[in-house]
Amino acid sequence: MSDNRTRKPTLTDRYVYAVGRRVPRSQRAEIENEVRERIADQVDAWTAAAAGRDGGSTDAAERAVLTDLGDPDRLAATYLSKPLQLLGPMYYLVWSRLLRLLLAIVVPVVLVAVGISNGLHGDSAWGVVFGVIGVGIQTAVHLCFWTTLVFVILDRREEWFKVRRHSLDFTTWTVDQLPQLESERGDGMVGEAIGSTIALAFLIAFVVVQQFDPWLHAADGSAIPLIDPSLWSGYLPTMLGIGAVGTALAWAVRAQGRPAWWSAVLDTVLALGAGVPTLWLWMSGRLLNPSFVEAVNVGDSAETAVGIVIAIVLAYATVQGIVSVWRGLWAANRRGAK
Amino acid sequence: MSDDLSDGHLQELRRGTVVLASLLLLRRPGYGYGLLEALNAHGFKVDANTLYPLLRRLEQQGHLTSEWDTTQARPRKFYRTTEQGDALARTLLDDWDALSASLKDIQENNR
Repeated sequence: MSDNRTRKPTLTDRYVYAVGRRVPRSQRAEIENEVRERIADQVDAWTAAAAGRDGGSTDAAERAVLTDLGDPDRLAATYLSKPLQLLGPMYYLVWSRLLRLLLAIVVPVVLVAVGISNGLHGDSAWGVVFGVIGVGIQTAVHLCFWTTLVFVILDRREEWFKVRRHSLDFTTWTVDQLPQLESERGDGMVGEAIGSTIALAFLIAFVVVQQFDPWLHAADGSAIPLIDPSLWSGYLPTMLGIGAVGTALAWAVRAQGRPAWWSAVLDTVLALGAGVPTLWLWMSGRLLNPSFVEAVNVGDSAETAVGIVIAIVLAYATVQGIVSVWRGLWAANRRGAK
Repeated sequence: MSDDLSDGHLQELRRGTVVLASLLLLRRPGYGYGLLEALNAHGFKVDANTLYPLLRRLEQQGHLTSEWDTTQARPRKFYRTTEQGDALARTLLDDWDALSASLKDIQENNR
């Protein structure tokens, strides 16, 4: 409303301009005038209060008032009741659940796929490892960025999508989602027993199929088993035996309702009994049928790469199995002590 | 109890009363800074950063109406409580009285 062009712009002019830049054109003139009025009134008050002390110059008053008003961007936001956060509380939970779910599913799948593909393309072992790490980081960053972007847009521009907040009820919470108490979950151990039985069935099926109906055949039509047939003399029967004993043990623990010291120790012995020989045979190159390796012939470097990945998986599975047995025992003891 | 803590609770308790006091005061037209001083004089310690956006919001909701007064040396935006705003003020006042009575009641029955 005052003519700004005939004189040098004051700090107030610059402040008002800075606020105006941050508000929509339709409200700009109104908000600019309001801010100008507010500054002028506060400058007057400041000058009046300071007059008794040191005479009070208008320049100092203007500076003090503007400093007090603070960052013009922030002030503009308060006039527009605009959120000064990336994502509001309405969408935070949905966003965080969805993102965790996506990360947990997509990243491992991509890692395994890329690892296998790079290995088969004949990358060196380190090439496979670095490739997998790089792709993993890229995948995670992309997932985080795009998911967050969608939610930020949704949060700020609800009218674009014609969504009402309650229509996003794919994450609406119900009482059925309440977590089981540990005491209930541990009860019976039936999950472990069933899982163990299914795993045994798969092991038997795998051993039989790979021997008698494998996916590779020699030129004369005879089967080429995956696992070195000479291992039938000791290793393979032992593995099947360990699987059977482990399953029996799981059902015994189920019958008792909770794991005990003896079952944990036995589980550990079984896990080591299966894991250590398998790993040792694998590392020394005696697990696979030599004619199978020859027939597949993926190349030395790919063989090394895939070999390392499988060795890591084997070692991890063994350690993880033992750890979970002892954690189960620890949790059961803690429940018992209560 | 530390002063910081009680300050926070006091602030929370008084938050809604600024709206009520403003609606009542603006039955007579007033501008932002004048209202700020009047509120402070009546013991409502309200911050300018709260009050100015609040006035805008109340106007957008139809509880206040505004007009620029350009007859003075400086243009000022004068706000006035609308009929709707007055009705809101009466509702809030009733609720305030009811709450006050309830609190007194609770206090007396829990000595």
